[in-house]
Amino acid sequence: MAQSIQAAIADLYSIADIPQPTVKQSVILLSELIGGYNLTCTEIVGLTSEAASNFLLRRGAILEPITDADKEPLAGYIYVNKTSGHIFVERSDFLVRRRFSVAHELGHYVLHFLPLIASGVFVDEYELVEITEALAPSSPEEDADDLPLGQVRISQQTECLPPLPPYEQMEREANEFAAELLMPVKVIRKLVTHYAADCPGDDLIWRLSSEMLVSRAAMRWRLRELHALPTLAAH
Amino acid sequence: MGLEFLRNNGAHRMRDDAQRPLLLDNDNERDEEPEEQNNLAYEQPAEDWHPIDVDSVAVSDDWDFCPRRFIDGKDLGRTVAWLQTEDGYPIPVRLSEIGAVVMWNNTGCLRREWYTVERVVSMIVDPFPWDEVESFAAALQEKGFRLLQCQKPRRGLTYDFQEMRKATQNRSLDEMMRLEKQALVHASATPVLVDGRLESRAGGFDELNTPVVGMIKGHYRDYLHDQGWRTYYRLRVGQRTPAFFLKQKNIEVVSWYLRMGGTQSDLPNWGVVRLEIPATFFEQKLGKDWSYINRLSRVICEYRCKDTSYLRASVSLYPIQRGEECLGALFTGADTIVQRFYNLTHL
Repeated sequence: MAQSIQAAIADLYSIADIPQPTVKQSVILLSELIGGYNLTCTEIVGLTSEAASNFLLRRGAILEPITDADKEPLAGYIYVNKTSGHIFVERSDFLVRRRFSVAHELGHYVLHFLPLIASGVFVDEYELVEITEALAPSSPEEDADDLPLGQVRISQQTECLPPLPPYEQMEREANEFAAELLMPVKVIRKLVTHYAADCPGDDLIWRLSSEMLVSRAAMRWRLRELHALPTLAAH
Repeated sequence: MGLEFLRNNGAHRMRDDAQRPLLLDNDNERDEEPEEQNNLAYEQPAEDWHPIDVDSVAVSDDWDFCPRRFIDGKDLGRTVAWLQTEDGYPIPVRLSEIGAVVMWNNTGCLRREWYTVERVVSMIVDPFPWDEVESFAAALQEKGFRLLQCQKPRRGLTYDFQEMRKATQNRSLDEMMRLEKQALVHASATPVLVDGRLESRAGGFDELNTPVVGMIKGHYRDYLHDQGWRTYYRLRVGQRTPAFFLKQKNIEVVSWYLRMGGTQSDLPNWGVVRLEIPATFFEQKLGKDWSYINRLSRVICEYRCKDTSYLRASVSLYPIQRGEECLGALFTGADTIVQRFYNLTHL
């Protein structure tokens, strides 16, 4: 189901018509990349799927409340139908966390939902198709060493469709997408080469997270994943 | 949005950046070390404390542990603008040039061995929409500035502008100290003196093998017992207090006070610095060799800045003063950079 993450991100840049990031321009313009699709992004204080549903109802984006919407606190949420998508993030989260949540939801949209919709399986123009993904809240500490986990739901009407990948796989892919999008391997490798010798201990993580406007936790995870974490920084 | 972020969020220029007292100064943010983990009787028991003369200590020119490299950092900046969150909290914007330098005393010839200089903009960003801040950070990056995200004050956002400004200033100072750590990495193979505490530079050097010494000019904490203070005030030029042990968050150090200068007409504590060396190095590498502390103190007195026109001469070392001058010369200059920032951001 999912296309390669690298290819999906290359498509994003192509569609949004913006240049790829470089070492000197390493803050990824996520909002511009989203702009390439029919996607909106909204920040809500006290985000729940019910709050997102109410927001969309008030805006007239949907006519009925989202199926299974509830009051469970969330860090991120995406609602997708055949023509558009809406990403929500918890406003009171750290800014860097909000960016990661948006990138995570965008990952689901690009890797899992868009291919499903584009496959042409929804032949009836008026058939109601709703796909949502609810991203659980993360630790309140910016430095918390965890990655978000979510839960994909597809409306009743689509259950006869070819199955999406297992939920765990989709979550892992969305996190990998977010990490690669916000911290591209090519840029990371060059920045590590540039700073690793000079930045002892956790300073490398501090430095790179500041250069790329991401959380230290996300950067630590990324460097570990790429085996680019110098020994001292692992402590 | 990009560089328009500040203007679009109603930012105002700030011209007067004089320090003002906190509106609500009821918060002690300093991290105090637990006193019971410090050991003032490290070199001498309290009742035996008395000034120790280091002026007559002989130190050969080729002493292995004589500091040859000197590290200084500089944060030259000010609050240039302020804006408000949706809830009306004031958010200061600080623009700084920060840098660090390694000065090398190569057989009497002092030269700049390594340096780094950066332009940074520090502010609390969490109250603002992520996409606007992202765009602002990217646009700043394109123009050679780095956005430093500041943590909120400990009690959260506050209407006390000075407290918010302190949080912003702390962030750029913290980044400057990280540059000093980079400098330490370049200098740590040889005996090195850092202008400031070792605590904030821990990780930048090998605690066991590096003969590193931190020199602290300001005295913000009360480490001493009564006899310690009596000894402190009896110090004459070229005398030190007995050494004591301090357990800090990131490092354990051996510390002592040294009077480098000062005359009868100055404040009684003027001319006294506090020195720190890693306890691991002192205990495991040197086996608590007290003569090391005496010799080091003597050498530091020798390095004292002799330029009487320099305001802080009696608590400064000549190589550090030179380092500061070198960095100053590498900086663009506050007025120029502030004007450039206003032009870029259309403030």
